[in-house]
Amino acid sequence: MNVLEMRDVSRAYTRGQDVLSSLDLTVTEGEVIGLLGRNGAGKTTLIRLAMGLLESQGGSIQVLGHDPREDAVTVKERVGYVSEDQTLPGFLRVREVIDFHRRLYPGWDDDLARDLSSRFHMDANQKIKQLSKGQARQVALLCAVAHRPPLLLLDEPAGGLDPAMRREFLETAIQLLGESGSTILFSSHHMTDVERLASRLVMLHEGQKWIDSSLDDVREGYCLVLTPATSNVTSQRLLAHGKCLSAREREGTVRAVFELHADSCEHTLARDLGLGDVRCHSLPLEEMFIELVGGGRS
Amino acid sequence: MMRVLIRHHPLLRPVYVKWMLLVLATGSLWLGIVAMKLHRELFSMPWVPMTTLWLVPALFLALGPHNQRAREFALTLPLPARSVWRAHVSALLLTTGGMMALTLAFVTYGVLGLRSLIDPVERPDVDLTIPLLTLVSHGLAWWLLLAALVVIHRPAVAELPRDRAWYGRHLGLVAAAYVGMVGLGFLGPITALVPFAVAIVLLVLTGRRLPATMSIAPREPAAAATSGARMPLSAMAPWWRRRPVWMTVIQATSKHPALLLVAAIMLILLGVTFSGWTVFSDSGEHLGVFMIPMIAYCLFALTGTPLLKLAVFDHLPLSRSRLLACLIGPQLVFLAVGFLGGEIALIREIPAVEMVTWSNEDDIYGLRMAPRYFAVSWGDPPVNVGPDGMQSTPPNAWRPLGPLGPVLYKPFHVPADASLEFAAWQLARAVEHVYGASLPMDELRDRFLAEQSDGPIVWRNDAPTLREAYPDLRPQRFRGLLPLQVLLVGLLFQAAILVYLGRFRPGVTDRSRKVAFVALLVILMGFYLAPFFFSLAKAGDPAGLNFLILAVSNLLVTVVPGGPVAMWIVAIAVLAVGDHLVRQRFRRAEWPPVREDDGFCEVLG
Repeated sequence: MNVLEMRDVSRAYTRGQDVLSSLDLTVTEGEVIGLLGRNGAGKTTLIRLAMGLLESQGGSIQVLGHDPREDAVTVKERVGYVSEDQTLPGFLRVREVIDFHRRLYPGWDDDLARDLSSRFHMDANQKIKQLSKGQARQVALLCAVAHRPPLLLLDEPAGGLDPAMRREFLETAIQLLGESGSTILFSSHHMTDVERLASRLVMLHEGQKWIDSSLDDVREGYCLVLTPATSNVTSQRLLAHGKCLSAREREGTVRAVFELHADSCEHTLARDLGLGDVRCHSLPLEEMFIELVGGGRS
Repeated sequence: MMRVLIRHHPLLRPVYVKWMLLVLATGSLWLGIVAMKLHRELFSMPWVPMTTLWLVPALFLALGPHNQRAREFALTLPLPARSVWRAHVSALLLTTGGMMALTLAFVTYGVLGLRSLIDPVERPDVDLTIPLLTLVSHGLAWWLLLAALVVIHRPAVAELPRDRAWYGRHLGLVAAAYVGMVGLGFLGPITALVPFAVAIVLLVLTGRRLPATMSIAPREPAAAATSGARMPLSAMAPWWRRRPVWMTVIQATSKHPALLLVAAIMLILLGVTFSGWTVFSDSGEHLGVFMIPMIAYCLFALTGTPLLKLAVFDHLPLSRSRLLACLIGPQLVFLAVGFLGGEIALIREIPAVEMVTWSNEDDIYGLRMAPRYFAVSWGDPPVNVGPDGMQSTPPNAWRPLGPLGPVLYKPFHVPADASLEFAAWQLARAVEHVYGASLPMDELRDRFLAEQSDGPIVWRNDAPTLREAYPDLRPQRFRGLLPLQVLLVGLLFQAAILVYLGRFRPGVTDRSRKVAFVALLVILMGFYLAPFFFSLAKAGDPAGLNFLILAVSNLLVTVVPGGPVAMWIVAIAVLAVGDHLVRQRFRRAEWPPVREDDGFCEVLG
């Protein structure tokens, strides 16, 4: 069953400048999807559209079989949402925030809320404004997952948290709901988080989906090529190859990213470009990200 | 160096323009009260203008964000703590002094305007002279003392925590200083030297005792919020302990929840102006319809401000209709409470008010009735023909909207040469019009009126007033007024909120949203102040406009088939259409991400 279905979705904030452009995305039950992209790539917009916080200017969106704008309450009752800029009312105490959410979600699980509050060492009597950023985020997470939503949308939920808290936060959210078959879509700038937690990776660039495949396919499908720079072997020559995503020369070596499996890369380059002295390595996700969205692809 | 420190002081950020706007609002409110009461005793007592002058600076000193005495930037400079502290004192005095100066200018100008509004013939007792010397001397001295008491508290700490104790201390100081100011204010301007001297001594002594440098935070840690025990999460709280959703929504979307209390009180007071009490009581007679734009202003300000923070709730399964109800519902309840309060007051107050009287004096001779019972005509006032064939052309035809506008006139005019029959006939008609009771003309003639041998008809010397003679008389209600008021307020509010909601769509910047919000507030406030300014410019007559609307509402009740019921149906139908449009736009609106500085618009409300 498709939990989230976006068809030809477009959205702009300023006329003529699409943040998302004709985007298609289908998310099935139980998937954990990491959403990657540079700042302004459209990750937050995509998640907000799915949540019904924004209205798309083209295409259609279905969340759990409903239009998130038309059936907003039905959708929101079944979706958990945490974002980096989300604020909880600072004047409320932790228990009041939880009580407030409990009344809004029919599927609220008191045991799970209690379990999470003790796991996070929450002081229920503290006011939100007295909490640290990480603690406040934990309260937001508790509120987002304690109703056991079939879909969890996390927009940079761990941004600004220290590595230990970030890991605890994400693993709590994703493992907890992942085990019960919930679908999770989360955006992050931390490649290690995505590599550790996601089963599928969607990379956005300038409002369009650039990569959408399983993490294993992404890991195996791209490689870094290192070859000595000579008058015959230049970055321009490598870029001319259809599978080359980026290439640059540094300290007498040409570094290039190819959309090829590392094992078959040497053979392909020798055949297509006549290169002999070539070393091919599989590419860490972070480097691939930098090469793809921040590098020299024309 | 001192100038640079003051310019960089956190108190002088442009955002404090909002406190200046609060000054204008307070000035307007007090002017409104003065205009409403027009009461010599009230105004000549020094505490009234003193409170006006003092209210906003005192609020700022009690609740304002002056706990930050210096930025870290200033603390890192090789400057003694005394310089940094002096810069803070200067900034605080500049800010609050500016508020006082603006209030003084606004109120002084306003009082001049009020003076031009008041007819010296009708109200010779009204004296709007400001006791300027007492006002300024005590206002300034106690303000200086209050500021000194605020800044000498832990002067070496650059940023004090704004906790409950902080607020409590400052509210206590403000209350004590206010009591001192009002108490000594009665003793004359010379006593202002006492608080002034104390303030100077405190400031000098504190400045001398400061350590070499200031610290960013207090040395001792703040007390823990709880005893340290982690409270377990219980199951659902019982209903009486649960915080209502609407309250959470309103508090969370307000930057200064304390202002909500002020707003609630204001709405209750405005609700009173909708009630019969305002229509019938002497002091409220001039308010009435003037408050229509002000109520729309408040409704719009209180509904529009939270929109900038509604994103807090956008991901929750709260329907847009429910959110809208959370924003508007409580305001309507407060208005209704005020309205009911006014109606209850009306039950007590009406018997004391005489609505139809008679004057035997030459310059105001004849049947007297409150202008609220005047009639409206679009041409020349109709001529009354009495039972004896006598005709009466109402004099003093009043055109509140200028020479081309409708005419207000007293339909029961009795000229000086009227016969006894004609006077009694007009009196009987007036009684029926005002009280809805048909009293026999002969009885009125014999009991109250007398013929003089060489002069006009007079009220008998031994005759009681009408209400004394007929204690059961009750003035008729203006049954068409309330639906008209509700309709006008509703239309103004709905129009403003529809325009503003139109700014919550893609492509609209925060800045343009704020500009739209402020512009709409200015327009609504303009409607409110327009009669006042027209009056100053001698271009219109606010009181006449008020009575004109009363007369039109009376006329509509008689002209519209179905009377007040039909008027209510029309008003509700029109507002229901507006409500549908507002809901539709509210449902489609996209709330911007919450920003910390969005409290800017709140204080305008």
